[in-house]
Amino acid sequence: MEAQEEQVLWGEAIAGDGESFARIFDLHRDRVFRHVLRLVESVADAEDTVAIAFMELWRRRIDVRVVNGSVMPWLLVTATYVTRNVRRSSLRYREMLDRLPRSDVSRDAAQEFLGGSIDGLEPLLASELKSLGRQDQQMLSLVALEGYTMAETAEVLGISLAAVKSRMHRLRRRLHPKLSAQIGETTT
Amino acid sequence: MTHPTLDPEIATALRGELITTVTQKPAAKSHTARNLIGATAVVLGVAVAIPLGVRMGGSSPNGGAPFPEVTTTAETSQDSGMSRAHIYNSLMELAGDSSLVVKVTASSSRGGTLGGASTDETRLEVAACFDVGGVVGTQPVFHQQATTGPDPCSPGDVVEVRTFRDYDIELQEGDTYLLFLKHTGLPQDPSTLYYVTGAVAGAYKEVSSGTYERSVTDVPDAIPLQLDNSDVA
Repeated sequence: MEAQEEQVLWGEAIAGDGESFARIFDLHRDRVFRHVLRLVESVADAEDTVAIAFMELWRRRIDVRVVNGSVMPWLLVTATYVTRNVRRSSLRYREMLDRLPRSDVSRDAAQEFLGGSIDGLEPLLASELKSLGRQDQQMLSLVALEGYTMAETAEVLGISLAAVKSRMHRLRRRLHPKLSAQIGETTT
Repeated sequence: MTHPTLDPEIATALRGELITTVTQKPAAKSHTARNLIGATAVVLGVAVAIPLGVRMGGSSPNGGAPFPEVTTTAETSQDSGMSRAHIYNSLMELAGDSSLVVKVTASSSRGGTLGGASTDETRLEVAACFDVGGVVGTQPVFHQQATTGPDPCSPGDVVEVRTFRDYDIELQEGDTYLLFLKHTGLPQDPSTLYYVTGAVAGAYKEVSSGTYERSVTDVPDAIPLQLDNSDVA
């Protein structure tokens, strides 16, 4: 979907068009889910976080920063906040979350992703990500994992481009060399 | 590389919830008579309010003329539920979502658990209670007050604040704080037990006489890092 198309959908959504909002959900839900899986301990927490992030997208629709026509960066940042607070965040939306189905069936791919058995880098990445402060988590996720430019990242985080560059530089020096090299490839 | 996706059954259900939420969005908050009284209070507040920095620590007794509840922005009160995850756009919004604004000194705490998480419940002695009287410019004006807020409050009262060890600030025994507090909302909890509004957003520690700094700065809330005498409107 073109960014322009998403921007039209977003405009319709905040005007009260539920189907347009649902299409934005369709567009971003899996990417948000994967992002969250890197930060939480269980698939159930990740599912709750996705639900809360989209409910927050609606609740805070007036304040959402749309970057290059997309709400995706805002969703990723918000989801990161929510993961830090998932137990407490869920209190606000408990009633809604309780209405969502809870399957006992193992969600293999997600669980495998969480367990880090798919890709040799994932356990390291997950471990390093969880050890970072919130803003570093957000920057690393947006720049290195989600492919946003530093300028886009600066815009959605509301900080200067110089600050993003500086923090990413520090991050590269701090992270495990294997990850640092990978990040360097994606951001330089 | 396998790409996990949101469980289809959950995705479908959540999609439906979102459509329902969007199409049933709450109407804009109407101005009640109480709001209008509050608006009057804002005007009066400009003339008579004594802002936080001036009254804080002063010796004047509580119990002055009752001040009506302040009007807040429309967004402030749309959610009356728990405020642990809310991101506040202003100090006014934070105050409007709080049932108590108090200057307190921590005395003791005891550990516990809630929902599998480790908690501390800290006893705090109230040194001063505040109501938000209105806004001057972009800053709220606080009035030292006793009983007109959502919760009765007087100096010497003891309140308890529950914090989560993994997430919240630790209220240190002997330290003084300016706290924005909200009831836990849990039916089994006593009425004197609170959370800090906005998890860590509503916690300011006194760093010197009359100067309060936000205990946690790495938060997304658009609220001041410091409150002090310079906040005098």
